[in-house]
Amino acid sequence: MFTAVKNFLDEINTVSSVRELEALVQVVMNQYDIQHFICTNMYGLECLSDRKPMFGNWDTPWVNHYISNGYYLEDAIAQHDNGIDNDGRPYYWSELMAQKDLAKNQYQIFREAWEADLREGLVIPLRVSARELALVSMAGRNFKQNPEVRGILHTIAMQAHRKARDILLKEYGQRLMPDRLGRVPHPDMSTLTPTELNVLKFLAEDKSPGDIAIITGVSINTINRHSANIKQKLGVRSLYGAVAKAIRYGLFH
Amino acid sequence: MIHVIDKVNRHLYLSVLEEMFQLRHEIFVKERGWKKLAKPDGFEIDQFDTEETTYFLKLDPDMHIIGGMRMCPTVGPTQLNTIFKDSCVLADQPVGPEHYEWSRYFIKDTKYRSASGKPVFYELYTGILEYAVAMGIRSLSGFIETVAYNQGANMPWDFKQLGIPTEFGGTNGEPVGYGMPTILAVDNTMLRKTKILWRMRKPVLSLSLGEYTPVSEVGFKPEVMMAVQEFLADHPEHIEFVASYAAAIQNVDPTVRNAAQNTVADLMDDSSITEFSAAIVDRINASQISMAMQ
Repeated sequence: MFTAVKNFLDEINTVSSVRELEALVQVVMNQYDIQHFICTNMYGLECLSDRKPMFGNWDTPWVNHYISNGYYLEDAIAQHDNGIDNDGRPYYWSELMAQKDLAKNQYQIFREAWEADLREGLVIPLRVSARELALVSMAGRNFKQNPEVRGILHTIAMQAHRKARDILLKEYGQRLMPDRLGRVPHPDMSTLTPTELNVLKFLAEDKSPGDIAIITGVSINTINRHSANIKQKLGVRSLYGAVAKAIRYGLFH
Repeated sequence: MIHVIDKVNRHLYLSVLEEMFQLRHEIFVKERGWKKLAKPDGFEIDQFDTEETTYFLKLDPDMHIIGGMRMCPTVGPTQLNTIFKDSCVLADQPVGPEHYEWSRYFIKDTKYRSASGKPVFYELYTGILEYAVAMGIRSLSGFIETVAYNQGANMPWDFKQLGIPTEFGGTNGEPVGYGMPTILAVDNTMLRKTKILWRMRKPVLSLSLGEYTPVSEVGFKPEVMMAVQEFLADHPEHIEFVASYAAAIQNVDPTVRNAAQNTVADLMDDSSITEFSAAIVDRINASQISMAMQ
């Protein structure tokens, strides 16, 4: 019963990209005959816009239909999880339909999902903090309500979300790297190493040394050392001065 | 500051522990509806509240409880090998002197903030981790609600599932809970990262001397706290002296601090004193504390 989830938990440690993660999740989804799975950042994840997918098989006819019709604006599931302070318990589509007084349009979305062979689904809210919520949605033609399967799928969703979050935050940190190295206008700027430029860029993004340490995965002392070097190389006394000088010298343009 | 209460200093906290059991009844039985935990006397005490249990309590200056948690050894019965014994389907709960189980986390005053604006759970978790690292504990396992596990995604922790989320309770009018067994790997690096993330620069453990504890919000390194506890286990008669020295060393007036340090230095130099080791008191020295509020 738990072999698939144990294998998944072993293999997820070796995953280093969202694509690999999606392939790994797909293996488990296939076992439970789930055709649709998607994890959406509802709000709060700083490296991704609200309502953007984090991982999942989102290039499918149903998802394209859903997005092109703007269903995310009125979908009962998205509204349900946005508004309440729930305890993170997963729920089935049919439970939501039974409990909530849905609008006509909202029923229509479920009807169209049914026609697209997504007859029952499971929604797993993942609340990381009061300001951050992700939603995993899974659905299929032969989806059955079963407490053990729900527990397994919940585990897969939680661990995959954790991994995707780590990967996306890491990639976000690398993307912030200034891409105009060597073409900086002022000679002072070319004395900075790529790492120092990266730290400077983060400082200009209103990140504290503690935040930068966490984002880049090094200790706060390392960040402080980089900061000290930046100040020395730019001939300023504070990091405010360093950021101001970097802006004046066009580093961020 | 976080008070650590174990079998060595339990006699100093009898009334506090009584209040804690009543408070737990209030929170877990009355507010959360876990009727199975109810006792006729209104004290929520279960089979895991033994002499070996260590309690971590955040107390206000009047020794009233703001929040707390307990830690039990895994060498005896634990929640995960008794009540929830079928839940560890992914991995077993590690057993041994380096592995503990935590449970009964509660916060009475969720709006409380420390002098530098930290919520109670920052101090409580930091206190537990500081103590655990100093004690050489390598893991803390426990059955927690799934929502709490998701919140751990933000933390630099190696926090794993031992089982899958399941429903529990739901009989005799109790609510249906939703939780799972988990394990948190503890080491110095994760403690350091946690403190950086929460901007907790100072230690958070109090000397844990019961009502003798100086009221100042100054924390001590766990090693100091443990050394003092060890000393007082052999010399309980010196508790007032240790407490007044600790209070003096935390005084904002430098002359008081210097006078206290000089007194202890004199005691250490006095070779005629054989029954009292002033060296242990000297460990509570100014270099071990910071007057900055946490």
